Amino acid sequence: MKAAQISQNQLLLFLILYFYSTLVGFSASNLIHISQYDTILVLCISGLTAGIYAYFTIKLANRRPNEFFFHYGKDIFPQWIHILFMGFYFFSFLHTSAFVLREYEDFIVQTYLGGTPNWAVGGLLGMVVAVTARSGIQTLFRTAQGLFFLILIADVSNTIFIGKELKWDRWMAFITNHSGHGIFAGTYTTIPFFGEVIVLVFIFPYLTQKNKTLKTVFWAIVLGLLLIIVNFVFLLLLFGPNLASHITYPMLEMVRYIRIADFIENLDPFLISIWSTTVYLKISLLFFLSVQILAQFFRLKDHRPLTFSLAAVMVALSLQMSGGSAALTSFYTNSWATYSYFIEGIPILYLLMDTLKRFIKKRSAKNNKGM
Amino acid sequence: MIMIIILFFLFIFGYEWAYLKKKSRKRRTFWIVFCIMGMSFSYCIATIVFKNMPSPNTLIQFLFTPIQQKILGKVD
Repeated sequence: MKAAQISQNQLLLFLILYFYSTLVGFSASNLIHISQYDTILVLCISGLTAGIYAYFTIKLANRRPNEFFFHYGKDIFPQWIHILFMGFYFFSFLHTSAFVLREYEDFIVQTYLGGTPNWAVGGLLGMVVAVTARSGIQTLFRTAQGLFFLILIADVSNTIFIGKELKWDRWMAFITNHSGHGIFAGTYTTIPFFGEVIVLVFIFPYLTQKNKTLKTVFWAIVLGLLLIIVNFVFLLLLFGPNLASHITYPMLEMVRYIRIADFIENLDPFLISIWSTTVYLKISLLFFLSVQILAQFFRLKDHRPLTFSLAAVMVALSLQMSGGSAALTSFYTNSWATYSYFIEGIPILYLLMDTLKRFIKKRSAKNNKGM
Repeated sequence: MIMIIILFFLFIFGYEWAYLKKKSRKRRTFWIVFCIMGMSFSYCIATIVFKNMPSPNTLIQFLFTPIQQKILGKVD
């Protein structure tokens, strides 16, 4: 498989959008419900943990920088265990892309396209994702680079326009209102969002200037957090934690508060454009990775002929995975985080095993020399 | 709905066949690509025909909900 080139700048912009995408759009309500005014603290701790995840992931990838994880993994673990883990990843990436797609379908159908069947929305976005994945990972990162500033402008305009509606006297609550359990539970459910930075181990051979990756990821986490925190602070200042946690899409309601000069009364399109784009980028990367793993498993020259078949599976899975929004929310709040820890912990397991193997090898070489 | 799925798969069958022919891929690649396409088609049809087919979410919830509840306590 030919290695494409992704610059560090493209990686930075992509990761910022990746972190921002579903956390603000679909999970704001749940996070505020659990952590209330501690949400900001929770986000900072989660960002810090993401840095630790990134450090270990990059440490593992840096040991064989030009090889794919699928190929060198069998030198670390026995082949059958490695294949099993790759199977987990294949399923997990496909499942997560289907899950995010389903969240998007529900959002669009409930909010704008009432009466439109989910399969129509899922089918259309699935088709776009398939075409992007077919074009390759470089196209995906270039798309993110191109769309980044448009998304940033839309998001900054939203936050600026909402400024005058905020109730600034709520500020004090960020300092006075704390709950230990809220911080713990919120952090537990938020870390997996940032922990998705482990995808780096799969895309590492595509990167240029690999020695700068850790620095890039560090900045992506800081800037992504900044963007996310601004949105969360504004949500809390406008609605307060109780109201915000009882609205399905609090960001959408916040944007609906914006009134500019009595003639622009609906800025929803700004928000929809941000969400649609970031969600599309996230789904595309996860989907691409699952296709890539399958192509590498079958030792195919390229992943392209598998994209449309798997895109159909992704769309069907998104429709079949739950009976409705309530079941989806229950899945997300009750089990998704723990499931994600299992999946995201695998590269650290590889790193531990690799380090242990190297240590034993070094030691036995030393002993042989001594004899 | 089933008609739309059949039409979609007919289209991608032709498209991928032309792609693989153009790139002069081995017989093995043809087999792999079309077997995966066949499985994908079967899954799509099954989701329509068997409405109550178990979903992977059920399995994940079965495995991980008790662990998460132990760690976090009941969050309502």
